[in-house]
Amino acid sequence: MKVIVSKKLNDLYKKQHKNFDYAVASALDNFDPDSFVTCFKIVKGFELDGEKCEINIGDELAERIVSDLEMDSLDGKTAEILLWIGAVLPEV
Amino acid sequence: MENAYELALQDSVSKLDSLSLQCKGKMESWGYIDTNAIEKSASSLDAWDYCFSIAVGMAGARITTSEQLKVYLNDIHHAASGATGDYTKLQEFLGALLHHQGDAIDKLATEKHFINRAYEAADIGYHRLLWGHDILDFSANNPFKLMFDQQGVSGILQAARHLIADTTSKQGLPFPGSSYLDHVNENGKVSNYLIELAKNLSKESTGNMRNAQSIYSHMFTVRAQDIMGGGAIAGFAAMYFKIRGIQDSVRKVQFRLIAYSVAFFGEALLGAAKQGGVPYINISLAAVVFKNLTQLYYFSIKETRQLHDKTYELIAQGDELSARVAATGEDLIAYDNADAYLMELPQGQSNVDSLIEAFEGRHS
Repeated sequence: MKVIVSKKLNDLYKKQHKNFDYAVASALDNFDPDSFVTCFKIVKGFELDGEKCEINIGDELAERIVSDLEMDSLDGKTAEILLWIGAVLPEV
Repeated sequence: MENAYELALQDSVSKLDSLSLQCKGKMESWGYIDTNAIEKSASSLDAWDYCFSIAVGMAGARITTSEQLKVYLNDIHHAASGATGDYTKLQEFLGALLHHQGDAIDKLATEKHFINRAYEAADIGYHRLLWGHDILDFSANNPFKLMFDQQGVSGILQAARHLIADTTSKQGLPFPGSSYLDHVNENGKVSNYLIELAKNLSKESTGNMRNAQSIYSHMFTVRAQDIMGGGAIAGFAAMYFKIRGIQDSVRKVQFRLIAYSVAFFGEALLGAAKQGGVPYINISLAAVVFKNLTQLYYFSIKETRQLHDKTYELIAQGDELSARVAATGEDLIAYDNADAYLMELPQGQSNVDSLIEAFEGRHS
């Protein structure tokens, strides 16, 4: 699935040799499921500055995000939030 | 009568000659002891051996600390975890071979997030240490048991695939037995002493806990990169032995010991430079260094035993010679000092004179 995210975020992933799918999946695996749905729903103003670019994330992961976050469909903003969290979490 | 005396003297002299010859023969035979039966105990390494063993060890350290290789292996783990990405054909192949997703080793199907062995949320970044990855954990949390419960017999193979795949990850696989270091931390949550140790080392070296993950990964886990470094050393050493036709076991062990030690300490030094004084500890290399040290000790003990046996053999030969000497001289009169031998001559002459007188008296 293609999503539009901050180019700087994309560059950060490349620089750190992180993988979008793996980082987001790890982030989801580490969240407290009792609170993350609410937390995501209250984030309204999250926006990253700068140029945007298109990246690809796995369809399987997209389905998981939709299911775990109790969404109807995955939008670019949510994907960006998750990728931002994935970027700041240590990759193991 | 004088002839008889002369004959007795000649007999004694010839016996002494014979004894002297036997002693000489025996002493010469000592010079022909089969020393090949005793392997050389001194180092058999030549200058080339020293140079190559150090070079091979440095190459091993280079492999274990290579950033490019770390990224390459980590991508294999990404591929094996089912994450999409730009992979090479080999990475795709290995990813497929080691594929693992949704395994109970990582997370039970009933759980939405990583947990620890007390079924609480696991510390972020340490889920492998806190759940299902310790092959020496003989509880229900053993990876093979978890996978058997999840997938049946095929789960055992899947557990092996999963554990091997995790060694290619950035963090690596927790070293076997680490689950026994679980403890309840100050927050009342089940954690592990290794996490505390990594955090403390990070705090001491940098003043914060930013390096804890790196310290943990390079000190307390088994990583494919570390194993590859050790494997490369073994391969290079084998090639070197073949090219130079080296057969001597002691020499081979000494060569490997130098190479592995150089790699181990080289990696530790590079790690210390990167982590503010905290060294990288390559558990795989430490294990082979220990193995080679043990082998060298074994060979040393073996040589000592051979020398011990040979010494006892020589003592037995000495005893045998001593007994033979004693037997040869049994019929010889032995005195405690030289004067007694000198006294024997006039005594013998006086005996002869008495006999002559006796004969002369009888005849007259």
